[in-house]
Amino acid sequence: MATETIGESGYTLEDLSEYHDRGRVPAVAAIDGDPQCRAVLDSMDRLGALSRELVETDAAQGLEESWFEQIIGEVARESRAGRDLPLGADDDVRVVVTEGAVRGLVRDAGDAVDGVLVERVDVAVEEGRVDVALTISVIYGHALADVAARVRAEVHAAISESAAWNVGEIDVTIDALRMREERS
Amino acid sequence: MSGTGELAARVDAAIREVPGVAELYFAAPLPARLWRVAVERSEAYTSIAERDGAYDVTASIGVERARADTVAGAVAARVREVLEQPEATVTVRVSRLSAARPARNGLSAAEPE
Repeated sequence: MATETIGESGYTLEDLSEYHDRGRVPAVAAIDGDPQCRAVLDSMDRLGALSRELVETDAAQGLEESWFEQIIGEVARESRAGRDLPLGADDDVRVVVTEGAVRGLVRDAGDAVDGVLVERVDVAVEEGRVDVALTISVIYGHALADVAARVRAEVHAAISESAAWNVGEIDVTIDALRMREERS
Repeated sequence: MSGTGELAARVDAAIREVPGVAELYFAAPLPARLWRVAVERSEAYTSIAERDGAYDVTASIGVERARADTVAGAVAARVREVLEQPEATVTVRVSRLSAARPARNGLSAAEPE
């Protein structure tokens, strides 16, 4: 794992992994109070639940640890604060949202679609217009065109309901199919 | 704790009460935070600087199931109320956003039996 620290926490991805594994106790304020760390920990929760489910259904074969590491690494990259995007301002009040927050919003919206795991998110925000590109994995058995349409709809709704933004292009790339067996 | 540190703790508490605020995050960079812990004994999330009697406040929040601009505007107004200084300079940074709808990812919905 990379040795660079996550956000402003002073902790590395490996430190976060150990913190996650011990149930986030004792609480570390520097981690819990850092938005980038929280995004990574939430992603570890999601992937942990996914791996448990795949193991239960004997569908985990063929999944490599590096795949999970790759997604965690993407989340760490995406959740970097980046630029402050203005949401409104007057003389003495400045309201901004970070690029990392927008990327996280898009990832959550994509993951909310049944049968989808978001692998990578890229977002461009210019003058109130938001353009999005997502790369996703889809569980085998879902109609791909339908899944892509639902991801676009979820992402569009999430962005437009979160602030006065114009939603531009939402490009969805499906780069992998994953197997999951039905439970009896 | 210094006066500014106590004030920041009160501002933290007030921000948490604003509907739509899901989380508070540290607003100051790591070195400034470490300095405040060591010198001011303050572990507040919100950063408050005082210069010539005027406050300059930065808050970092997570917004859940609400419009970010509306929530952040309400936070800025609440901060000024607590400070009792309408002319205070306030920056509200939305550092995480969660959509209005609950997650229903079929990949992760199942709990271990």
